[in-house]
Amino acid sequence: MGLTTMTNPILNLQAISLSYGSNKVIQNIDLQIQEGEIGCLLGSSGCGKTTLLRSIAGFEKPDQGQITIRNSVVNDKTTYTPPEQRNIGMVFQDFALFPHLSVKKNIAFGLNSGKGKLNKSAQNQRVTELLEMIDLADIGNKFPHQLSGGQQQRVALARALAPKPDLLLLDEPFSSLDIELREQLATQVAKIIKHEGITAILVTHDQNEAFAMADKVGLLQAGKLIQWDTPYNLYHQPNTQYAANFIGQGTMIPGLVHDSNTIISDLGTIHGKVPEGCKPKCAVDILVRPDDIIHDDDSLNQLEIIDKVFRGAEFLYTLKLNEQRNIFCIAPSHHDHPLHSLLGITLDMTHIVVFKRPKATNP
Amino acid sequence: MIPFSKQLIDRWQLGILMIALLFAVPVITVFSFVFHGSNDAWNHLVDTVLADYISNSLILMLGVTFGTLSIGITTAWLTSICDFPGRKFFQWALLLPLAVPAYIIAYTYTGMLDFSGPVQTFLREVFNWGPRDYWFPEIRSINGAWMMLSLVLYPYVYLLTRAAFLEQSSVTLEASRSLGMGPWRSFFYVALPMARPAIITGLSLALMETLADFGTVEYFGVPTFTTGIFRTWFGLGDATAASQLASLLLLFVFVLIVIERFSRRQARYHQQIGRQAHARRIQLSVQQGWVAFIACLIPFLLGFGLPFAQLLAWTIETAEEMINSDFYTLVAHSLLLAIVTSLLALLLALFMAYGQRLTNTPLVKLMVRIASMGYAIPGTVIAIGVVIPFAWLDNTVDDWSRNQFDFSTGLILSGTLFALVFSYLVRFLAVSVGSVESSLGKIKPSMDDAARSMGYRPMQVLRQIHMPIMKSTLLTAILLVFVDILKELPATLLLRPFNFNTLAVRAYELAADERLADASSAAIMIVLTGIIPVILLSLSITRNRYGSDHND
Repeated sequence: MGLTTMTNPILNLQAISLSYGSNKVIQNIDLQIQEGEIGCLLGSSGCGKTTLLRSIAGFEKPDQGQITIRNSVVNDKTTYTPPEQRNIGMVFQDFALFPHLSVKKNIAFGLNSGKGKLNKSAQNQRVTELLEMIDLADIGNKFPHQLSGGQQQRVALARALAPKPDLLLLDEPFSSLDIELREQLATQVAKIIKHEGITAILVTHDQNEAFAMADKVGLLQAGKLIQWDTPYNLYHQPNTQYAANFIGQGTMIPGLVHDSNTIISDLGTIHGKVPEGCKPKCAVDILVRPDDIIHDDDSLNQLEIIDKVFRGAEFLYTLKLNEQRNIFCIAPSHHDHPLHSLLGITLDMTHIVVFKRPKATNP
Repeated sequence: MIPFSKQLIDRWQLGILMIALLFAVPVITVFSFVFHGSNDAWNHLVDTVLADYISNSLILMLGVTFGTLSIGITTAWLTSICDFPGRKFFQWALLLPLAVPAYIIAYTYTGMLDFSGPVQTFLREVFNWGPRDYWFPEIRSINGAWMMLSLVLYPYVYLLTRAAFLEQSSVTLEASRSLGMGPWRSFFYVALPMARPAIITGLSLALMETLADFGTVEYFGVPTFTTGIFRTWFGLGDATAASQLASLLLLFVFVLIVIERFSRRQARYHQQIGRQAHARRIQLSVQQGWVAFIACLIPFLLGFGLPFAQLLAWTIETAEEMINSDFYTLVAHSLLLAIVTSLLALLLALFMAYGQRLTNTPLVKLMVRIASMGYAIPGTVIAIGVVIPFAWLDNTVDDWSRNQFDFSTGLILSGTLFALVFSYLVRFLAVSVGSVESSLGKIKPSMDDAARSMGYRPMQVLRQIHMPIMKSTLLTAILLVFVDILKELPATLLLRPFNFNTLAVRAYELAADERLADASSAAIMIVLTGIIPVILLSLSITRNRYGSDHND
């Protein structure tokens, strides 16, 4: 990683802001994506992730900031490069396949114009290559309405990849598909993108999708980029309470700092790094993930089961910690304990995440 | 939608702005004379005929209201809610009268009903009456006029009312039935009130056509605004008084536009959300079925069947004499005008509708509306509004050229095909803009984005994505304008170059000379072409209703 960060990023966003009237959709976003990386913009609906993606594509025009794609500035105070000159590829939520063109012609569409322009035989070769890559070699002469949703999705991907764009943008590409199909396609699409060596940005509200595909994930909230990190770090080292709550499941457990390496909480004494500037007696919240709580029938620490969800391979138990708080515990599904019985647990918090509690709020 | 560099927005906006202003010239011209004050001719009009114009127009509108509502609602109800033998045929056949211009049906009925026509001859032979033994109603009267207009205008009410009945969810009617109302009471208390906005929209369209009618009232000798404008212009040569009459007529029209717009908006609230299975049709008994059959047969026969048969008979009778090189010249003239103008209208419509999609500013929207307001404005009014500024421009250029170079340029714009084509465009641009706009609206914005992201400029996107997708709509748009131009009479009559005749003008002239049979070959050409859009219309209605359920 040390070497890649030295090179120029393919995409460089500097201080991007965009408002519709008084509604600040994007606020001061900085972001870099390196060659060959798959980045992901994650957030709930209305957080500005799609607007940010459309700004990169050139479909929206930011009020402030600079966008650079492969060393050329496409958007700043004085420059605006229209989408057709940005050398990007885009996969749309509704796929946007051209209904009057066959699958082959859809894929070849971007090879007839702009920087991706190829002669006829090179076009045919590229189309065949892509059709094989998406496992749809035999449907080239069909029309979009004759394809299933999953097939349309892959054709849309092939069409966007065909001209070998500098940057591939995917706008909620799986949201109109069945849930079972999504996961399967997400990994397949990620493989194809990696195989083509193309840099990509994906927009989604589904963190499983983000984790399955992305090298880096950016979490957006109300137009701000809260954290830009690897999926692992986002999950295990969220930098804010919002990130901790948004990503994965978990509960905040109140605690008091004892010394620089010890916190006393309702779950007992926990060792780990306390936040900067937290002196002893300082009130903190500790993030407890379901995988931090290990089921152990022999443990002396027993909590009441107040809810349980069968998830096939495992049970997700909700345990009553005290009157105010519940915590989650995942146990293999042969550990089937009845509701309201006691479940023994131990803590396995190798990397604790602790937030200093703001003064005004009560535990 | 997609941001542009400022200049690009300005280029589209400027283009649309200029077209809109150009197209607003006729209406602005006509209204500008309102402030000219009254001259002798106007005072004369006020003293003598103005009251007649107003009362005749009101009587015509009242008659057409009665005629189109009674025929339109009855047939719409029968074909959409009831089941009886022949329903499927009448469903589209009831639209056929739309293909017959009112002035043509008026000539045909005059020929059929006059003293030597088949009806009176038949009556005399059967009852052995002498020429003076009986009274026969005079068709060439104001009552005849509103009947003729009703027979060809009821399809507007029929079409919109029927669509409204079909859109009403079965649940609403079933709720009414479950609350103890019989099918007929449910019709009067639930279905009819729910369809009211659609009925009023259809009626206001029919009334606009009534106000715009020139051929029928001229032929029947019923003085109204349109004939008055024509006479003031041709007879008195008074542009000011003609324009003032035209402004007064436009006031009537604007009231109708406001009513139409308002009821269209109402109709949106009355529509049911989502598609639900239509209620089972009411199965009529054998006797009821016959009544329904006859109720649908009569308007079809009177509005299309009989006049068409008569025209056909006359055409065959006079073919040897009438179908000659002169006739082919007429056809060529009409086709030339209609093809050129409908293509131009399509280009303008594409430019405006796509420009609106790209820029999407309130100013552009307003301009597109302004450019397409001509659909409500009578051809006579547009003709006056075109000829006055064109003549002024011609004279100014001519004067200047004579002063400067001692050379007369003559008439460059007025009295040429240019003026005629321009007035057609003003009148019918709304038709093509409407078709293109609604068809563009169905293309998802992501299509534009996808093509742009693959390196295509906006004009290339229009050519390679939108136009191929909209292919059939574009053809329909051309066809609709084409037929409208073929039928158009008053503007053609006022603006055609000297000795330049079209089918419509020739039919009018022959009929005015009492050569009704000779007029039939030109008339039947117009009717036959008019049938094409009617068929397309009924096809698209069935497609919308059944097709989308299957395809999606």
